[in-house]
Amino acid sequence: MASKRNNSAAIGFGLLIKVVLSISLIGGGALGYVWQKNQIDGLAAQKRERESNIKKLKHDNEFLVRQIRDLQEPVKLMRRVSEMQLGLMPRQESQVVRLEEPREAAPEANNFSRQLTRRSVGGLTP
Amino acid sequence: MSSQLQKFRANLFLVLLALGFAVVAAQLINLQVVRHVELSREVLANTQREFVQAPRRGDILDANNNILATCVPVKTISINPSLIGGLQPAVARMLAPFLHTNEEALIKKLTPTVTRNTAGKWETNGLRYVRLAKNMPEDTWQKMYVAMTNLTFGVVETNLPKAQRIFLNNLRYHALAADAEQMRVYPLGSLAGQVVGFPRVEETTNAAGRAVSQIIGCEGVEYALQKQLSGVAGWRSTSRDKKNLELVSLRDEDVPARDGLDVVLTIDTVVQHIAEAALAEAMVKHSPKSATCVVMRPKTGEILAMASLPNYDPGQPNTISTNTRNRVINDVVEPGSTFKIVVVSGALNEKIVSLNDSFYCEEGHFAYAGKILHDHEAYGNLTTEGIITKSSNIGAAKIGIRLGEENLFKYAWNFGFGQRTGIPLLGEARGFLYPVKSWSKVSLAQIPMGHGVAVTRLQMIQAMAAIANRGWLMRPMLVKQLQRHNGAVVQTYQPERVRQVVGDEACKDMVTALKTVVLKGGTSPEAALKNYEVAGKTGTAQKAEHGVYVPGKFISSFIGFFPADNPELCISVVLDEPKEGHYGGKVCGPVFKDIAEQCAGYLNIPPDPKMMTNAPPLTARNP
Repeated sequence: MASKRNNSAAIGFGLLIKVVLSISLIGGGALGYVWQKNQIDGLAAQKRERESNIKKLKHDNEFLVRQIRDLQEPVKLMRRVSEMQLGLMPRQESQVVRLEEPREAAPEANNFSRQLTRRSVGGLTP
Repeated sequence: MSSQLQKFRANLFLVLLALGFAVVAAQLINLQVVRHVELSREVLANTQREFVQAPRRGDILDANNNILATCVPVKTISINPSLIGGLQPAVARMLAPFLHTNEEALIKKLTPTVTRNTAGKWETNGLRYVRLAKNMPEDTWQKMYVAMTNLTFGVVETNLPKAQRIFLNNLRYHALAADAEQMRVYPLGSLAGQVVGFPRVEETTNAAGRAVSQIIGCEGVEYALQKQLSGVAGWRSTSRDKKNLELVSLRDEDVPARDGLDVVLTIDTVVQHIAEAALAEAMVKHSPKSATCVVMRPKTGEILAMASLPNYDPGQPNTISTNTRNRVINDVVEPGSTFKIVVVSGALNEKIVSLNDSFYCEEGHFAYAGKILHDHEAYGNLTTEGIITKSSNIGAAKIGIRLGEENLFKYAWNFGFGQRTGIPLLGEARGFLYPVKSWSKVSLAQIPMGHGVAVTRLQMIQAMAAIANRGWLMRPMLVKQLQRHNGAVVQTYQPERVRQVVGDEACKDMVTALKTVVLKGGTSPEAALKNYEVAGKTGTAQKAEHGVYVPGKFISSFIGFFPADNPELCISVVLDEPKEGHYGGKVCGPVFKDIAEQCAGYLNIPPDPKMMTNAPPLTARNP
């Protein structure tokens, strides 16, 4: 009789565990779902905000780029210089000193055996 | 008894429950199966929104990335009169200063009115959409929106009924709407206006019933490269909540727009400015009907400047007319003496003549094929070089006769006359170069002096550039590259050789002859430069109107290149009907000189050492 009672108690306890597990699983799943939905909403809000920030930054950047280019526009600078009468003018040819580039000695460049010698000295060939 | 009653009640309950379930099931089937398509469409229409993401139109830049045309973001402002109720005066008072309009006109605009149209149908002035402004700057829109949301009506709103409060809230936050648009701006105004071209704005209506505009090029590069500049629109399919905020988590499709490419031209704004300023001076001095200038690099065919006065500002449509067309490519004229380079270089190439061959120039009057040909001065014997130096019509005619019809046509065709150059601009003319079978007897003597053919100014400078470039005809280049807005290059255009028209030797001889034009005794000593040897040719063509030459009306021109032996720039200057003087050398030569000297300084072109009259250049020695 006592063992029968023990048996029914064991079944009852097992059932209880199963019920608790099932409830916690379903409850946990539901809570997880809600948490995930919350996360998605939060991330979506962040994304919207960042997209809006990027849009604003791009807009500001473009505005500044345009402003810089406008300030550097040579024709506008020339007009401004003439308006302000600063006495600035394009440089004259007589103000330019031109230096001729020194030429390399041609015969050496054409001498194939000399080139080979130079390469071997430099250690480029075995 | 009682158990039977209980059983009956239980059964009745079950039947009622089953019936209830059946009704619910039937309704579910009706909603989910029978009316599924219709209802799902309605649901989507309530929540789902599709937005077109307009691409940014590409910029047009000069060779140094200076902006010639760009887009700025602007707003098109509209209002929903159905949300204003009877509060038009208060709303108009607030909006009027932002819209630069008077309150009365605005009140009229904001009041829905029903009128009968010409077809006899009743129509409203727009119950849900009235456009208030176009091209409004972003910051003005922000200020206007803030002012609208802070609008008060002189009542304590907390005491108002709920419906009234909702109405006022809707008026403040939902009545005004702004659509993002872009406006084309031209920071340099009319500079290179005809090359850049101008756009028009095409309007379509979007799904929400609002007008959406698109910029479409009408002329110049704006038209020719419309496809590359315009880009491809993107779209976003998404959902919005009650407050009209996007539900990003329910975003379905999101395809970003592909912005248009920036077009980098070969035009240099500084050279263009130099050319336009010099032409403007010539316009004041000689009062011609029009003046044009082209600056080209002969070795590559790159066009650094293309100016035609009068011109227009693409940002101001009222300045655009047929008179402000790009005459460099649109107009055809008889070239006059500049065309002599074709016959002489052809004859030199065929070795029919040499520079020292002598021709008798008939003392200024030459009877040929029943016509009398004239020179502007009476010349006796002239060498081939002398014919170019003095620009003798009779000498050129005699060389043409010696060259023969077939050869003359062949060289003229090979130099690019009678064909489009292929420059990417709208309305380029072919000119007229008739086939030999259509020539009259006198054509053989007239064409060498630049009569009986009609050319564009671009064809003429292309031919001169070919002489400068050892006989190689280059296709005129206007577009250097296509790039993204961040500067990444998508496509680069390379200089294109069309054909070699004349050989190296003939070109050298031709350059030798052309150098004499700017010397004392030539037709344009005014075009000579201080530090560079110039090779060039003058032209003075009498204008023909209605098939006859009009006395006193001329087209004067000078085309030259420098340094003559290693040409960096080829410049053409043409004045149409100059008033003070008409000889090309006298009128256009000084303009050429002015442009050439400034360009040489700006582009840092090394001077010819033999021409340097001031301090000789220093030479570095190896240590």
